[in-house]
Amino acid sequence: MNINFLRIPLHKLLYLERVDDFSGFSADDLQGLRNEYEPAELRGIVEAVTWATQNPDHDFASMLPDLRHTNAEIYRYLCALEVSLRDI
Amino acid sequence: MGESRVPGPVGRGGDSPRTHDGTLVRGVSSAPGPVQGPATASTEDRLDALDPLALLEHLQTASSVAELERIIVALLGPQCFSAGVITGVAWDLVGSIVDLLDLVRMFVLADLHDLAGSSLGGWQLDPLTAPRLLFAELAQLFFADQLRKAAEERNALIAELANALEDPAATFEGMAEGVVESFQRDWEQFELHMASDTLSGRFHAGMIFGKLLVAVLAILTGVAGAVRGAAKLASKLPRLMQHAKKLELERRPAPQQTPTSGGTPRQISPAPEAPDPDVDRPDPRRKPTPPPRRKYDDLQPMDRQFVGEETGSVWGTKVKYLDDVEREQYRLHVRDGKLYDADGNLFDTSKAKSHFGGEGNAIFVMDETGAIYASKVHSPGKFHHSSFLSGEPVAGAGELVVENGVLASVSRRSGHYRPTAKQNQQVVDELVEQGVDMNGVDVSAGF
Repeated sequence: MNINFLRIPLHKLLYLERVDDFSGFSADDLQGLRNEYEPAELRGIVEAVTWATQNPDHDFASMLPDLRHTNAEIYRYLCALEVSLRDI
Repeated sequence: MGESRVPGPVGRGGDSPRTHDGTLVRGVSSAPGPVQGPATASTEDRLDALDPLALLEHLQTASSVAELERIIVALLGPQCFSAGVITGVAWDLVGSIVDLLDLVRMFVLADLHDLAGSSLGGWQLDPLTAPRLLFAELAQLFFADQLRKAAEERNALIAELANALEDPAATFEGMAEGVVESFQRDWEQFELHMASDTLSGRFHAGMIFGKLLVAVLAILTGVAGAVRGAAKLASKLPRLMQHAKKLELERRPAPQQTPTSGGTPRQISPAPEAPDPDVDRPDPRRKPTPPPRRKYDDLQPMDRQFVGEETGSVWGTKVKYLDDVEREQYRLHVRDGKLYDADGNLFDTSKAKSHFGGEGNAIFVMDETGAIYASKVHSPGKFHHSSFLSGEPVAGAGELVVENGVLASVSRRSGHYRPTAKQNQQVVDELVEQGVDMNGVDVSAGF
């Protein structure tokens, strides 16, 4: 697992005002991700997100500058994301 | 600095097809080109129809860089000397590029002259190769004199620039040492590309030539205060001095585009006139014009956290870092207060979307010369603000919202650079200078 891939989904938080507004990606969104990233890259992202859901104490907030959410909020976002990424 | 190269054929290798003296275009190619995108349908249609009169008239009346670029691609393909020149010129002179269109037109005619005299044997062919060559032959048939004069003028300009840059410290007495060294490095690169005998080499040679040409013209325009020995310069660089004078005299608002069809007589512009040997001494009251290199000094470096991202060590994926040629495809141009992309289309961010990024906006940076680059694609881990200038410092960065070329908002929202409010103001100042009406534009902060 390459934790660096986690920065990609964390990037979305820069544009997300409230974590609780995010309930995961739709089927169309997942198709968009397939178009945007190579299969190996998507695998890396999914593995990193899965790892994150198993490590809630990791300092996610420090992985990107300007992340304004708390670590707990980021963790909730990653858990919602992980569920929706299972279908990718 | 190496020995100056006499302008001549670009294909001198033993296996290279024969080319005529002065040839800077050996053939045409469909290789991915530095000049953005394919020609417009109308331009290609004209090429397909082999209507040299209409296309040359279009060349004559093209009133924007983007329009001229499309014509160059249609006529000559993306990898030619004149395409490089127009890219190099645009690189250094944002606000006054229109004034140089006539000069660039001369380079296009010169390339056509070369193409008409080239051989197809052994060259990369594509569906447009035959019509392009046939078109060049027809243009040569109808306008042989103009094309020949353009080629002669181009070769003379190259020779004169070579003469000037053989020893720039001696040519431009009093010039800053750093500028002299920059000229020397650029000219060495120009000669290397000219000697490389490759398609991209000719484009790069043209790009460097365009950049140096504009820099030298700017110095000559403000010669009274920029360097010493004006009389000596005038005698050493008569053509360049003449073009410098012409450039200054013609500095004016961008001309309105004129119709390319109708009952107007069909003729093409002749090559720029040969220089007047009695070059006037510069007006001592004239304020010196600095070389159009650095315009903004307040630059922001990239956050150290992202150093190495192009290798995959930050995001897992490799972030794209653009080279000089690729960068030009993202350059924004302002015309009549509206923003246009490198294709000449009105810039519009309404459909921009990134699943791990934002929506409805484009990321942009401004470099130290005031050139603005923007992308509607902001793909985390693959394309970021840092992509435009390959991680180098920026004079401004953020996001733009643009609707049909009309700027709605500009922010300094960039995690890679986190620009200051002052740097954001540099962007606003540059946009105003280029003619964008900032009334009603939302100028907002970063994250």
